[in-house]
Amino acid sequence: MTDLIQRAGIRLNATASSPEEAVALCGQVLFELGAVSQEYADAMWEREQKFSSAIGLGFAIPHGTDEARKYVKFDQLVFLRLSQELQWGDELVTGVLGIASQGDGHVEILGNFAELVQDENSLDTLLRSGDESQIVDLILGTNS
Amino acid sequence: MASVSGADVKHIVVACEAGMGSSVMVAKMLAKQLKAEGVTVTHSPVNQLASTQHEVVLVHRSLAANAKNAVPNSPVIAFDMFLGDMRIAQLVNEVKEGSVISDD
Repeated sequence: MTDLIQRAGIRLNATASSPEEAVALCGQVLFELGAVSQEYADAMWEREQKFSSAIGLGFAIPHGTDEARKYVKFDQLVFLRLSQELQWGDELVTGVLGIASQGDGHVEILGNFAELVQDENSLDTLLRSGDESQIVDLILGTNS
Repeated sequence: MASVSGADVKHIVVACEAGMGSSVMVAKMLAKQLKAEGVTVTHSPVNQLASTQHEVVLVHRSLAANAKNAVPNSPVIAFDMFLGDMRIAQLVNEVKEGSVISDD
């Protein structure tokens, strides 16, 4: 089984000039990994417009709509670190965790992610590490 | 308005839109904080709230009115921030201390 997040799903110097571009890039990476079809990528922006996915502390977690789950081929997360901070609704965002999920398979990792961004050392790794594997291990919780 | 004693809370449902992102994350964090109290925390789309087992509904403020419409007799607690929200911290305390949880 593929890990929920993989090195190929990490972009440490991503360029986006708006939340729309950042969400589109998440969709594109998920698409390139084969995890979703284009319909899901489109649904991610549709969902974002209804309700901002910025969670605070510099992070956003865009995902599709409930109806778009059928376009998910396998559960997968992608992580973008933006080279420039973006105004994202009421928040400023530099880290974007894109989510594709058919069910609740990603829930543990999402809970883990919430703890990571509230922990000084983990936050530093997420924002500064140049090593994709280190970030994969951190998000998967396999290095603790 | 609806209320319940924190001592009677065994199921909290976090209402959300798609059930994939931020509300799921909140549910997971809350579940961890209330595990010792034997409280089960689940998540549900707002339009399916009526079919969930819960004593308290937790929901982001932007969906609070929809949630209250869906389950008018349940206490519906609204939060503003996904990380570090004071109302969620208060809810955890109310459950732990068995004090009154109210959505007035």
